[in-house]
Amino acid sequence: MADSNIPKEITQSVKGIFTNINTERLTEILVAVILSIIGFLIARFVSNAFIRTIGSRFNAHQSLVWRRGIFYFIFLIFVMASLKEAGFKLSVFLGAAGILTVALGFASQTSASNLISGLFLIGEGSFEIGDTVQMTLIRGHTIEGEVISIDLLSVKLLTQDNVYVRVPNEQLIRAPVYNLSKFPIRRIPITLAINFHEDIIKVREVLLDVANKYPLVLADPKPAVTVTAFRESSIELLFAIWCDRENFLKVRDEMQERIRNGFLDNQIEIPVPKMGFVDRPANVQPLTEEDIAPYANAKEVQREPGLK
Amino acid sequence: MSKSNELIEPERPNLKWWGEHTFELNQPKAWQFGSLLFRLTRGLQEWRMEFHRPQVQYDYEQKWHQIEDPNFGFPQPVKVERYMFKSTQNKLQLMPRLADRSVVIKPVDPIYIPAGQRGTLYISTPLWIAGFVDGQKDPLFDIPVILPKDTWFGPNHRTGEICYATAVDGRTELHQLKPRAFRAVTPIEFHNTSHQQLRFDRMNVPVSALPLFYSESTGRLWTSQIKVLHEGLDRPPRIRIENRTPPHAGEVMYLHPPRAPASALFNMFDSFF
Repeated sequence: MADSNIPKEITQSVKGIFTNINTERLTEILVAVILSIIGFLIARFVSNAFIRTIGSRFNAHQSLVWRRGIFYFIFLIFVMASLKEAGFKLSVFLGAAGILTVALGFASQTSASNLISGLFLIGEGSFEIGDTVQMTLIRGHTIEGEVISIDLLSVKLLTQDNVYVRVPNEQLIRAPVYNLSKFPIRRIPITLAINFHEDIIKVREVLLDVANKYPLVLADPKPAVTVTAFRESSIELLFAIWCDRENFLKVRDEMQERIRNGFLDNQIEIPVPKMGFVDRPANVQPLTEEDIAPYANAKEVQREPGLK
Repeated sequence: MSKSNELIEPERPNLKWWGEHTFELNQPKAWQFGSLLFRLTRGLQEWRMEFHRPQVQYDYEQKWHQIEDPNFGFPQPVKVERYMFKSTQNKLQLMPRLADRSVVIKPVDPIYIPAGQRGTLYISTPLWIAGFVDGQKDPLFDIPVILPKDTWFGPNHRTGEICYATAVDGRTELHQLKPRAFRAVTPIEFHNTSHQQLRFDRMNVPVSALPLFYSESTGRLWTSQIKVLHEGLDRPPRIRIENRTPPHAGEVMYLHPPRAPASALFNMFDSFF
């Protein structure tokens, strides 16, 4: 008798637990999940519809910001509603979050700082999607690429080599970022070296003529040649030309070639490091003590005894 | 072909290089326009355009002629473009067009307009070649005869626009301006009503908003006249494009409408000079 009763009670209570969960909690949770899925879909639909209709005139950057904003707003409302449906009291949750924040703050310091940096980045608008930016990281490593997306945690770049780079927002807030596409024209500085005996006026004429004959180099702002430094075996010149931002790479590469050809046509030599040797007569004696400049303080220097 | 383009030219050279051409199947035609070598071939289902542009082009190279041996090999680099059709017609129109961006003109010597004076300056801007076939609104190709140099026009390096640059003599009398095949004449009338002398050292001519005319009597290509009214340093000069044809052109033939009607020119108000 007893043998058969105990298992029956156990099975009943277990069954009770399961049926309880099934009937009360589970349906609520199910409704909540369905609600958030619907919310996700609606948010998605509304934000996309907004971009397709009203936002069709936006550029890539604006449409991204608007799409994200609308999506998160609607989705958050639905998630809040579904949490309530599932029986979570939001006020309690938020109150608990006050205590939790401290713990969470320490745990997710990086993510949080990235998140806040991201908000600032989007707000500041120093660069937009489609811009080419360049930044130098702490160790001097330079990253250059086209911005393909600005997100809450990171910015995604596409480099010239078609490599996808994720840069944390924190990095962008902290370090200077070069936006190469902010203005329509760019200057190309070309550093050149010529021999000391070269006529600088002639070199300047040749260089300006090379720039003048290349249609993609802007006539105004004018190209300029300046002497910047005297090096060991050359004079260093800075040849600065301007071009349309779109043609930057092409002009920079082709100008080097044209400069070289221009120099060649006008017999201007590009120097290589030179070192002069002076020959000593053949019958020279080996150097004696007197030939070698003695160390002036040799007598004053006292060697420590026993030092080898 | 010769290098003496600028030396001897006949009294009234034939400047009308454009017009309609009839092409037999696979019978190419070739021209030399200034220093540009240009060939067109009609296939059964495609048009083929080839051109060779030398690395350096000079503005004074303004002669043109049809090349007798159209199959002669162009020097490198040759650019080829092909246009597919269901079946090609035997006619193609070569037409002149004005530049596709504004042109910044720069007088060789600066010109001053004293207070209260008015006068007309005749300047010229470079031309493009466009090829039209029947049934197509847009040209098949549209290339500059002499590729002008790019330049920047704006108050600083941040705001402004990319234009073409060209040096002009800026003649005050029309007959002093040498007729040239690949330049279109624009009369610019200045009126300085301010109390200061106005220095004219460069100016942005909104050629993409100008129509193109041909005047048989003068043998030149014309655009409509531009009027510039300068009222003082504190306000930008007012620019108006005249609707009527230029008075010195005589009877004209309408060749081409403006590339970008009117609206394009109003961003050059603030920094015209």
